Amino acid sequence: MIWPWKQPRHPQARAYKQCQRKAPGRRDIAENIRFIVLDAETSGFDRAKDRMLSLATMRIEDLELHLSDMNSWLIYQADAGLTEAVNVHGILPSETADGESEQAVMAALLPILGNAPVVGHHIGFDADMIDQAFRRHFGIRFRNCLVDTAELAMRELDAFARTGYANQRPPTLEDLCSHLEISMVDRHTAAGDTFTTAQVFLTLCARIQKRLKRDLQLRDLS
Amino acid sequence: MTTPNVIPDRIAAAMRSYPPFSMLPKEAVSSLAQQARVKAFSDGDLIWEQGDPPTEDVLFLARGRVEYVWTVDNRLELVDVRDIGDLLGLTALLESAPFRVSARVVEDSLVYILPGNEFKHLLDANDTARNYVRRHLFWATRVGGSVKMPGNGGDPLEGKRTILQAHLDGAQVVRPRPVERLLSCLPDESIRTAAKRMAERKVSSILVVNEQRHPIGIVTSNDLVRKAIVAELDYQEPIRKVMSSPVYTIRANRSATAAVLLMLRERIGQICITQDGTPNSPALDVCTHKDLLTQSGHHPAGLLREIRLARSVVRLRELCDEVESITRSYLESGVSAIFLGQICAELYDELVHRLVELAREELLEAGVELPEVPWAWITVGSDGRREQILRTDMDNAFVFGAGKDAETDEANRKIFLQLAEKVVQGMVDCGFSRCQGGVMASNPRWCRTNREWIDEIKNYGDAREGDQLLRALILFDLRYVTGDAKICTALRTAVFDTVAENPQLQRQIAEAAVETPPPLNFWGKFVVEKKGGKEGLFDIKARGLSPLRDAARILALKYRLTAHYSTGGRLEELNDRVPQLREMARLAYDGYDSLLRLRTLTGLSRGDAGRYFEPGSLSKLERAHLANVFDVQRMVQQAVRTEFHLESRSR
Repeated sequence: MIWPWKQPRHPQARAYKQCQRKAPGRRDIAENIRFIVLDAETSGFDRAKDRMLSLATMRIEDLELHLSDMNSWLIYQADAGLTEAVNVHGILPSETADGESEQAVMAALLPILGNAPVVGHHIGFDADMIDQAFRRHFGIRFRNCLVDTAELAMRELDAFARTGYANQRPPTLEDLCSHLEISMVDRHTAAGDTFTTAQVFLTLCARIQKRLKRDLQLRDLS
Repeated sequence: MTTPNVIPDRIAAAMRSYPPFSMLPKEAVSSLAQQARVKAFSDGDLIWEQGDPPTEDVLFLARGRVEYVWTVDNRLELVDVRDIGDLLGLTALLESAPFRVSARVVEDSLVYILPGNEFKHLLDANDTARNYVRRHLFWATRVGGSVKMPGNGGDPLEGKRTILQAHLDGAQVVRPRPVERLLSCLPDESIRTAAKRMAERKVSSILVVNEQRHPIGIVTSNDLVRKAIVAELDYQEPIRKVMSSPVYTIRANRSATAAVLLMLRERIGQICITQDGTPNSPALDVCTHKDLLTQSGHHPAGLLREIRLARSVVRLRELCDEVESITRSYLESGVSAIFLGQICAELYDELVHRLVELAREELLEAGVELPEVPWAWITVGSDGRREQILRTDMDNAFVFGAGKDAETDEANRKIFLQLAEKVVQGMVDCGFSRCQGGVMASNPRWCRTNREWIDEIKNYGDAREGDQLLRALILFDLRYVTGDAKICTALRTAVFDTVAENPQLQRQIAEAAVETPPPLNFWGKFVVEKKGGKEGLFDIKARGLSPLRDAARILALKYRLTAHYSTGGRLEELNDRVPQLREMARLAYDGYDSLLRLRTLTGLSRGDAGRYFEPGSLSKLERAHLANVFDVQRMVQQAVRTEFHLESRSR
């Protein structure tokens, strides 16, 4: 039970918080779990100052990616400045004027996320951005279980295994794609990166499952 | 605002670079992609197992490699390999039968799962895509079943349907001839007058019209016989008593093929063209079956007639171009290349026949008369096997009866060489090229008396030199074209006799047939040319067609299968007459057919002989199919080895 004064006011946020209480367990079988793959393009890499400019999600169920069920949003940010990140994704702050307000997008995102584990490449950063937005608009925290494909790759693929070398960087999405021979579409758009990440994730899952010789469980991934 | 979902479009674009998706409408592929699911498999996974019930889905392999494995008698047998761009699970879907083979992933794979039913509907609505898919279900024959597409009958019927389609596509329209030509009479004129007019104009029918020239009946010579002569009618009786009515009418400018079909269905020999297509308008022309067939242009029979009637080389050239365009439309609609080769051989034979006639007339005008000895124009090599679909280089030879002594022969040869040179020049003008190796009737080495030829053939027994063996091989495919057939038959019998008596020669030819190994390396990849100006290209003639052709030839020589000239025909005969080689012959026939088709299509699209092509230009399905064909080739060569006991020496 949630104490009344801890109950968020926004109905979607309330439902979100409610379903967080029965999130999939660590020993649940991956095939039975709904995953959400997510990628956000931001105005920069400063977690405090920068804002999300676009966001996309895709659904994986039965370890199958459902192309029909994809969402992507352009987010209107009144105070986002022109930063180097614009060079990467090419979304000008002025263009976001066509987008929806951050609050509306987050409200739409809440029911999609539900209690599903969220998959992404360097998901920690995206999760932080979303967490900030959730706090700003609804006063709740982003608490979904996270699966980082960069982490998974370092554990699973010998080419990216941890070496103990201090300056080792986790592999980028490009690194993974060229290693796994996955062709990238629409790089540096939220939708394109989400799709690529999903393919990387599925491929890694197939590999891990084969190595384990048993059904894949959530604890094997995060 | 949610931005539109662009990813399915990207996937659709990627899928559309592979057949059969490239043959489907863009929106349809997008719709498929819209509903797609993506799934990953790892090396060693089974996508499905033999005997699994069919699913609702068809799988598009976006990355990786999958092998079809067949379990039979507790053995695993690799049936087929699928890689990027291939479809999986189509057979089970089309037949709604359990999977016949297991699909084992051999490289990490990503598949797009597409809704099967929608895909099936798309195939039903799209002929080119369906034909493509049908051709590529070839592998299924290897696990003891042939796949039939729903909605189509058996294979032979299908062939007919596609020929018909090719006709409809290329058919010309009915064009009425000048109206003065139309023979007509009024219904009250006497039978005798009508018959007289028919006899004067040498036509077999007369149209009965009213004052406005509206057709009301038709009288054929057959009608006259049955209804007037046999019924002992008075010839002064009006014609309307014997006419058949009503008259079937069509409008001008309708498809000639459609008109022929109408006539076949109604069992009538004539059809009347009127101004608006009904019997209530003035008649323009009466067409018979034959008129329409020749008008329907894209018909080989029509072309044959045209070649027969042509008076100049320029016209013949035009006709040859037309033959080529027919060939293309036939091939594209899936007609067997072997069958097509036979049609083309018929046409090109007629062409040579015509050219020889023209050359003879020309010589006569110049005051040169052919000697009084029997002679024959023969064709050797690929044309001899009735496989020359494209106008590549010519291979022909000449034989004439030996005279009393060598001097007469030389004098005769001189005259025949003149004739041959004219014919060869004519063929060059028609688009054939001269043979680089000089295998032409205008070359004294290939223009010989029957005695010289038979001597040479007899001596093949001691042939040791490569050149001589090559000459022998070319000659073994000789075929009579025009002139005196007897002298040619004698030659052919001599060939078969010589080889039958000489096991050593048989062995030598057999060795040549197994010399070229199937062009797949250890990894199942194509072997491409590494030297010369053709690096990176695949030589389909030397590596694909030749071994099968040589094998068919030596087996035909060994079993004395004389009824057929073509590789296809030989294999068919082998299938009928030599039970122990039946299985091999059947597969080899299919294989040869598809190689020939591939070569011809490549040649047509590039305007050359189609000998070299880039393996990269093939779709993955086509490549997998080719790999199957080469598998067959390996099997055929093995059969030849056992047949001629070559094993001991090569190992």
